[in-house]
Amino acid sequence: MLSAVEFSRSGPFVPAAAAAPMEADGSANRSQQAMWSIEFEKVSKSFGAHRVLVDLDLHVRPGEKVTLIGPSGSGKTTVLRLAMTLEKPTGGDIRVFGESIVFDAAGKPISGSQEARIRRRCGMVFQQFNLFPHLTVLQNLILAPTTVLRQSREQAEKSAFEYLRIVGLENKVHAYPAQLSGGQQQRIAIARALILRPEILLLDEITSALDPELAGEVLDVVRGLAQESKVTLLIVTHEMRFARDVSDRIVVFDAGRIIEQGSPEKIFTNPESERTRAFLRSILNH
Amino acid sequence: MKAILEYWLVLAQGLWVTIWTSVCIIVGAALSAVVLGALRLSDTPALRVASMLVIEAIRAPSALILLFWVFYALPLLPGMPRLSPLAAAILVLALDGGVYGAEIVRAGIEAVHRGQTDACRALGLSKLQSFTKIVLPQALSQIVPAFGSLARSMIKWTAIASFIGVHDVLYVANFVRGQTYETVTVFCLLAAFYWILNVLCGFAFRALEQVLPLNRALRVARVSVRVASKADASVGAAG
Repeated sequence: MLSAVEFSRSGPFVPAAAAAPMEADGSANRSQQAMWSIEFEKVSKSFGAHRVLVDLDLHVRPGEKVTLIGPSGSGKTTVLRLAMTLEKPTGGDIRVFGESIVFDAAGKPISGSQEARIRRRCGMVFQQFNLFPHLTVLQNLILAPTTVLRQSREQAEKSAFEYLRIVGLENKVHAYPAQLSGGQQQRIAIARALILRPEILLLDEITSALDPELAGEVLDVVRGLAQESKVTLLIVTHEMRFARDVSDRIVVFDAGRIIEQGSPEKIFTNPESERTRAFLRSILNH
Repeated sequence: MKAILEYWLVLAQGLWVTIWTSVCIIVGAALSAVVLGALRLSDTPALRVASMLVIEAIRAPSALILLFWVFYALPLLPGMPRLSPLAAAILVLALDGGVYGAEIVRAGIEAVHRGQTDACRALGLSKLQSFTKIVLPQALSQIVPAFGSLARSMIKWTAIASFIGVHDVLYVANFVRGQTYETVTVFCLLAAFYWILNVLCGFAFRALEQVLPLNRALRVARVSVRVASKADASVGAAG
């Protein structure tokens, strides 16, 4: 496993926006202008009669590391899935770097191609890894660069080796996911998301399916990423120590609503809400 | 034995027609099954309904009635072509196999974990790229064994082609029986032909299963686990 220092040295985590050229008129591009990397404005989401999110307002600054905590079923994962356009909101608007991922300029639902273009700025790592089991580690990593970014195979492989080195798995390049431990699979999943150089990385309970020892190696990778990169992180986790270590801000969810948010120090040492205190007690005493 | 000794050449020709027809209808059924099965899961309601109607329209009548309809009734409609007996048989049997195969394909696609398509979308792959590069290669591990079973049935379906004059092995066998009156010998031979074709088809599909991407990956993983446990055991024994 490489240290956090190596994250900054190799530089692949520098988001594309940070290195993006100026527009033709000399102005900075949209991502540099945007005040927020993600904005949720009065967002609601229901599955049938079940309301998962209720009038959610959440704004995340570029480069900010925000962790969503709260009891199971409180809507945290749905926030990530909405940001990744894996779900459509029932109401409200979501913007990524100032661009709505729900409506176009005319107020109509955005087209698939617009959605794909905006989605390209985000990456997501899932609880169940979701590696492609019929492809080797290398094939998993180069699939999106070669098909989505139209990179040459050589270029994509070069990047893949770089990211495999970063997550400490360069010796597993030709292994299939079924040959890897859960922790190794999750590290590959992180590398697969990062190889596209997302400006926003969404991490959905990435250690929930792992035993504590394997979870540690995955969290180390994310710690390094959080400390050294400019990528915006939106994290859902039940690992409170990890949340405290990596976050700029903690957002506490309950029943589809934000009940409290603030710095890790404030949330973990002096929470305002009784519901937050009860949740933290239940988690920390578990 | 006169039937075999004197008529082996025509029997072989009939067998060749049966084999050729079988291969054509299995390949045709596979292609139409993938298309219809994928359309059954389309996000566009019109495509879903259209594919469902096609499937139900072809699946409802017996294959023999469809064959008669295409061969005898279709040319009577204005602008419709008259197909040769072999072309009509291949068309009908391939479509008939395709609609049954479509349900196998649909079930296979639905068996692929939703997380796989989520990951495809998160990586920015288009729907077509997700389907061809991720979903279908994994679904094939579910589809091919069931489709192999359907393919073996389809070989037997080819016998109905003789009803519209295709010179397949059943047609030829009936001719030979009429010439030699060796009914038992001819039909035993016919049964043996179908048995051999079915067994060969089974072997072909089992071989195909071995090279499917997901099966190959899981086999490699199983072998590596076995090798690792053997190595652990030998280290333990040495210690």
